[in-house]
Amino acid sequence: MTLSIEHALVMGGILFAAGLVGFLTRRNLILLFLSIELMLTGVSLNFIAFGQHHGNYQGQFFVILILTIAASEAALALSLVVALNRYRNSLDVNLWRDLSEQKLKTKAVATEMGEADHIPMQFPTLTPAGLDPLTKQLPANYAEDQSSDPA
Amino acid sequence: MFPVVFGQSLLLNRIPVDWIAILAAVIAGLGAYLVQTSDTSTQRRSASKWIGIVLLIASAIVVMARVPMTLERMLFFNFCGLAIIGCVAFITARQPVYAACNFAIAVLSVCGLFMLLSAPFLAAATMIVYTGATIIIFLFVLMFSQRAHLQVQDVALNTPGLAMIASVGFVCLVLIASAGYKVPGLMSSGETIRVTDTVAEGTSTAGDSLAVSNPTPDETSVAIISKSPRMTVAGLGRVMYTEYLWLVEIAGSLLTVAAIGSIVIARNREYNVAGSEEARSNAS
Repeated sequence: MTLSIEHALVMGGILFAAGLVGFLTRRNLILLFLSIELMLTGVSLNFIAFGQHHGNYQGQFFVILILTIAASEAALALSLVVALNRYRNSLDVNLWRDLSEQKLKTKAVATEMGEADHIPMQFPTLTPAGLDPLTKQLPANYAEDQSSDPA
Repeated sequence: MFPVVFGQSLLLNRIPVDWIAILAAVIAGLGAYLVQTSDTSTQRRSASKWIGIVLLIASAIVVMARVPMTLERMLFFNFCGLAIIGCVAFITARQPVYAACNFAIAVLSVCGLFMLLSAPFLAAATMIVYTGATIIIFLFVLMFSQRAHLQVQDVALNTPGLAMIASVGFVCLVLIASAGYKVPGLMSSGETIRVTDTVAEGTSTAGDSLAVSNPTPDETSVAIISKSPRMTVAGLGRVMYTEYLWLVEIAGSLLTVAAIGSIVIARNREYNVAGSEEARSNAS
């Protein structure tokens, strides 16, 4: 028993669906573009599986083209994100709703943070090593120790 | 009449539907939905998050229990599981930096799948392009525009229920289609193709020098690993620079155009060099 092409195709479909969910739900512009990259990855997996299935290199070559397109798209998307961020000073995609159809009914979305969401970002901390010269006075023989240290 | 023909074909060629796989997909979608909506700006329920994780694990168990395991399948499903974990963590992470890192996990697992599907060059290229270049640059932009606290666009979601229903429906369609159709190809069902070691690397570009032998009629699914023609990087390079050379040139031109365009779009017009706006307005 070996692998079958259906597994690879279903896996590509799952990746595409995950990217679809990310694209439809997330509101951060950068994460939207990352979701598109995820969908492209699923399509690439399908192409490689089909190329392997048919025993030629057309699928793999198409994936190289997809990589090129993805790189171009990432470059343009990042410049667009920088430009949009400069206009509205935020990465929220819902701030650009006025670009949509006028007749389209849009549900009201949250524009303010709830009370429970004001959690400060957690950044990694480093264990302090050695003496902190700002808060603690260096010992008087510190330089002598350094110079006399054989190591 | 199109509808009649459509209905007849649906009735006559009854597609075998793999209900257990679809059930697993629905369970997994429900779990992902619960995890995603457990911690939004309007609600915070850690219980539904854990229920969702349990549902995801249950769907994985359902899938694993149905597939007989070999070493290749075990590798394949390990990479698949890691990729799906990365995807779910990507769409549920609140902090965008963590979401980007989870995206990197998912793409690296897909690189493992590429390696298993005998595409080592594409695995390396995807690692370099996606997780090397794209993720790093996106992280730069994220940190460039990052505030000290979580913003509303990091926490709130747009229509999570509809999106999850749509994507679960899509996965179910893929499952039905892949169960109902046998893809005609070099390795059609019941045939296995063995590549002897005497076949030099790169000579089997189109699989023309292969011996078809050992039919195994009990194998219903189509074997694609270790029975396929050996795909090599050299063969890929040969195809790239002989048959599809013009496409390579077009792709290179496209990259150049995209680079120039992104520079033009991202340029800050308020800080032009040497006051060129003033100089232009004075000249005119």
